[in-house]
Amino acid sequence: MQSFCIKRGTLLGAATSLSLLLGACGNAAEESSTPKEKADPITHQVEIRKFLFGPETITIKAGDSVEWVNKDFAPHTATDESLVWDTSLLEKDDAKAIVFTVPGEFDYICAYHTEMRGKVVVTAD
Amino acid sequence: MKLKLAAVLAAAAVAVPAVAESDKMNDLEIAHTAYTAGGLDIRYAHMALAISENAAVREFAEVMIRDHVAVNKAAVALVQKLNVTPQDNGLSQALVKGAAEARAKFGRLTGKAFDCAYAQNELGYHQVVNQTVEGKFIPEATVPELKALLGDALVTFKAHEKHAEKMVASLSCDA
Repeated sequence: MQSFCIKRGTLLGAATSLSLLLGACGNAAEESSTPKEKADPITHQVEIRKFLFGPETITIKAGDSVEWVNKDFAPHTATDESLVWDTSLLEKDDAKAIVFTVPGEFDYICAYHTEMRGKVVVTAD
Repeated sequence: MKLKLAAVLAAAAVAVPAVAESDKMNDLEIAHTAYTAGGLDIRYAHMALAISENAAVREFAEVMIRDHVAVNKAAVALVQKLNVTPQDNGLSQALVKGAAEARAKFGRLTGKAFDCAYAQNELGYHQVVNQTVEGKFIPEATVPELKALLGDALVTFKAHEKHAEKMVASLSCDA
């Protein structure tokens, strides 16, 4: 499973304070904090069906992942409105997970069918 | 729902001969026509990408290619799974003839004239196709997998119809 990791950090253009990190998902904030017991990260699933994200809004904890699964014939994406993260093209039955490490609300769309909208709400761990 | 297919087709930008609404189509004919309709829209889209410089039109055309290729790929997979051969029919032939005429007309246009002609045709085409799929193909299909595929495809095509409505509105073709 290929996944992406986002954290607060460098600027990506003028519109966002988030950066997209590919591969390594180390989090400087976590490294400098006091170690504590943490629940194992969970992968939550969002199904894309009939040109809808289901659930439309998903609430997860920092460190968890969201996996989008496309059940439509039409290819879709889940693409952050600020273009910070993106699943890239998902054909029917394709799935891709993204790790969210920073609390916040992330509105996203399908890049091909922009009327399709969803939101990931990330709460503090 | 008794679909007045002939009237619907006549109202579309794509000129096609009337098809009697009482003409029942078998599964193989439905599969052929559905695949043909998708292929024709892909051809319109390629034409739009070759001619149009309008961002909204080009984006729509790219979506049409991506989505219709995906739906037709699923249709081919189903046909292969069922080991059947889709059957050419009057409606498929009418769609092909009408699309050829439309493409010939569009080929003489440029700029906004082309964009509006393409956009309005896409709206009319999807309206016709959607009414036909929903009112005729799905009710008349007997193979469950075909019926399911048509149902899923209809969701895609309805999204295209809405997208086409927005594209037409954004072009201000009546202005």
